[in-house]
Formats: sequence, structure tokens, C-alpha cells
Amino acid sequence: MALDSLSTADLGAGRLDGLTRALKAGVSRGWRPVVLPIVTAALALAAWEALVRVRRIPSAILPPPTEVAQTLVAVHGLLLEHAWPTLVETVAGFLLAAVVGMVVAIAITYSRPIREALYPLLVVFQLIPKVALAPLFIVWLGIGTSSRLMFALFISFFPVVISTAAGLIDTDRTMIRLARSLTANDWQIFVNIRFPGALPHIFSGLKIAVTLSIIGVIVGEFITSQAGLGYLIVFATSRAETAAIMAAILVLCVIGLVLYGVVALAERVMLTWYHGDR
Amino acid sequence: MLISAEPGTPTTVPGRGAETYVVVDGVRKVYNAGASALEAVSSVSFAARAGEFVSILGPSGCGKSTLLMMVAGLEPLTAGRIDVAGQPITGPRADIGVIFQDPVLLPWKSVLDNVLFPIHILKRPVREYTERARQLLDMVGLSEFSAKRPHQLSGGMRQRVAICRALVHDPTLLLMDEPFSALDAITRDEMNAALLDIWQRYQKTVLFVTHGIREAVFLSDRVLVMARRPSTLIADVSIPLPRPRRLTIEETPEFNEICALLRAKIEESHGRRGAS
Repeated sequence: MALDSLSTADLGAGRLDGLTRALKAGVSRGWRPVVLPIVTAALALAAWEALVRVRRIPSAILPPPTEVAQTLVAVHGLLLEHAWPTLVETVAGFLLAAVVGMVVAIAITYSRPIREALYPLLVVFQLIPKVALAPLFIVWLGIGTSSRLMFALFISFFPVVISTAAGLIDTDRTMIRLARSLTANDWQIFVNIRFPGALPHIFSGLKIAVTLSIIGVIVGEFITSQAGLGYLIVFATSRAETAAIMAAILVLCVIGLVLYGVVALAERVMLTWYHGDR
Repeated sequence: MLISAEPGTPTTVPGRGAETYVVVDGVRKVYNAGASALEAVSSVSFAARAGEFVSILGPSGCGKSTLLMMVAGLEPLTAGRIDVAGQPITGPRADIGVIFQDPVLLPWKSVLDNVLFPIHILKRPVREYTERARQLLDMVGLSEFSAKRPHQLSGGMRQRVAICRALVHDPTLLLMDEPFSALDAITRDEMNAALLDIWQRYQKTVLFVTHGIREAVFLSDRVLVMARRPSTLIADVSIPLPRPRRLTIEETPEFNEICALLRAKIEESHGRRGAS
């Protein structure tokens, strides 16, 4: 079966999982793995600050970290105001992608014709740099929320479909035979065996989807919008307010980290349930 | 007489109970009709009495597992008929319990919940069966492990949980598909002894598929020998060893005599094929 060869690692899950593992290992190995990266970052910021001051680089080209921090405090009201639509659209796009992706994955799992019709197309779409399609969404859906939402859905839907379908199809055949021998119907097999068994796969897809959803929203905001952090970045660029750009990027980082953290936390809870208390 | 002359004449074979419980009549299984057709089972007939322990012994690829899956209602028959308790098999049934080579426990459920899985699927009241599930776990020495997860158990313990699971909804027929072949020899001996205890206690009819001659002799009332190409029964051997049996019975001359006889039967079938 073609879908058997699918791997979520292709989508970057491997990298993200590696990072998670590294973070977990850091906690268990004492202070060094925690402190070293912080020290490194602090040194880099200090070098940046020193470089800008010594070479007298204009703030429009490269503002020093202290100026970015000052800007962050000075315009935090504006930043929060614009962070809100970005956050809402990212979460909505992600949730839509999760639901639509799982539904399509279930259709692919249970219907051979649907699988044969859709799967090659999904692979082709995986290869397209989907960001390039963003302007089309503006053409079709206008400059409102709906085009950004649809674009975020579109861009983050693929990892959900592919990892969910891989998980559902990957179910142990003997486990299904066991359920069948007990007169289980397809629905009972789905609820009791296929879906819970696929959860680890599904979550690795969701973790990628949440990072892609925010990219989709930002790209949409770059192209055309009246609000959002992407809009703010483009606006600040047009006025050469580089410190404001960096402050907005910092807020974006926080949003991305928090959303990823929420999904990763949900995954931890699920895995604890899945494997029991070790 | 130790060996009946022809296979497939169960009425002349001594059994424990009087009542014929499983009838397999002219069963055939062909995969992929047409040019690529593969005959997995060709015309197998036998019967087992209620409470009888019957092993189907044969080399791998002889179709013995396929035959068992047809009795379980998990594989459609190409030809022939299977009756269990007087009812023809048309699909899986709640009065049949299946144990696979792999214990296939659900990793996200506790040992107790795994044992209760059939009750859940059959939509019976879980609460009423919880006590029975605990008794079964107690019987196989796993009462302390009921809250554990499968990954915390050894291979032998997991297969014991699978046996409890196959018994919890009280099926009358147990189908076992090489259940201990993935275990080490010592654990397998323990499991065989435990299985005999369970069988004696619950009086189930058992069809046990294996490629182990000694295992088949130790466990069974009767051993059906299955050959490859064509995959049919070539011998129907009753095992007149006294019960209850202990593992030490494997040291007796009688035991080894029967094993030698079965081995000869199997080799004979190979020789026949080589000559033709």
C-alpha cells in the first residue's frame, strides 16, 4: 500500500521530536543544558549590542537589543492589539485543518477509490511550495479574514491528513482480527482500535500543523490586511522602523511557542494515557 | 488402536464427550481464483467432540492457520461446511474465543480492561463480568498485575492475559493459533501446563494449531497431522496418555513413542511428495 511508506518525518516531525527530546533530556540532566543556551543567547545579544554601538550602525538597519526592548514596552498596546487577530486566525485555521484533515484521512483509510483518487494528488501538493499559492486565495476569497483562514487551513491541512491516514492504516492487522473475532463492527473497530492506536501519529501531524498555520496567517497578512502582526511588520518596514519589526517578530515567536507548547502538552497528556504511568 | 486408518472419520475416534461439537466437512480454501490461484487448504474433514482437546500439527505454510481462521469465521470458505454447536459458521461468533500467536493487547488499556475487552465489544454489562475477569487473572497468577499496562509484562504474562481475554465471555470453543510459538522453551512449557489446568477446569473444546510435535502430544486428546501440497489431513492420532498430565510425562517412553510415530507420519508425507 502506498500510504504505508508515508512518514511524518518527511514533514519535519523528526526534527521537532528531536528538539522535544533534547528539552526533556535537558531538564533531567541538571542545570547545564538549561543554563548553557541562556548564557549563549545572552552573549550573542551582548555582542550584537556592542557591535551596533562600536560600529555606529544606524538603528533603521540594525537596532540594538536594548532599543528593541524599549520599543516592545513603548508600543506593547499596539502589539497586543495586532497580536489578537493573528492569534485568533492561527488557532481557527489550525482547528479547521485538524478537523478537515482527520475527516479526509478517515475517508482515505476506509475508501479504496477515495484513497486511489486523492493520495497521488496529496503527494504532488506536498511538493508544491504552498506559500506561493497565497495570492490566489486573496484573488478568490478577497482581503478579509476568510482568505487568511482558508490559506492557513490549506497550508496546515496536509500534515494532519498524511499522519492521521498513516496512523489509521498502520493499525495492527491481528488486533483488527481479534476485534472481528469478537463480532466487532467497523465503527467499534474504529473507536476502540484504529483511532486510539493512531493518536501518536495524529499528534505528530498536529504539531507540524500548528507551526504551519501561523506561517499561513502571517503570509496572508503580508499580502493584504488591515490588522495583525504580519500587517504591522509590513507597515513598520515601509517606515523603516526596524525596532518595531523586531518587537513584532518577538511577539510572533511567543505566540508560536505557546501554541506549539499547548499541542505538545496535549500530546504528553495523551501519551501518558496511552502508555499508563511509567 | 493408536492411529485410526483414515483421517476424517471422527465417529470411530475415541473422544472424551459423546457429543460432536465441531464438524469440518470437505473444507477448501483457494486464494485468487484463476491463473494465480493458490490452494491454501484442500478438502479437510474432521470432527471434534465437546470438551475435546484437538491439535492440528503441521509444518509452516501447510494451511493449518487458514483452516483455524475459517473455523473462527474470519475467512470465508471456498467450498465445504463448518458447523459449531450444530450451527453453520457464517462469520465470527461470540461462542468462539480466538487466541493468536501475538497476544495483541491494547497498549492504552490496563490488563484488567484488556481482559474485559470482549465484554465491551459484545455490549455486555462490564460490571457483571469484572469479578470473572479478576478470577481468571488470579487463576493465571496475574491478580497483582490487573492495573498494569501490557508493556510492563513479560511475553508469557501477556499471552496469559490473552488467554483470560479469550475466556472472559465464556465461549464454548477455543481456537488457538500457535499461541506459544513466540515464547522461549521454558516459558512455553509453563504455558502448556497452565493451559491444561485451564482446560480441565473450564471444560472447553479446544482446537490448537502448532508446529511443535511434543507440545501437541503433551496437550491433546487427538492430534491431526496436516501436510503441505496438497494441504490435507494425513493422520488422526489419539493420545492415550493419562490425565492430569504433568511436564514429567515428556520423559516417559510412551510419550516419546507417540512423538516418534507422529514424526514418522510427517516424514512419510514429505517422502511421498519427494517421490512423486
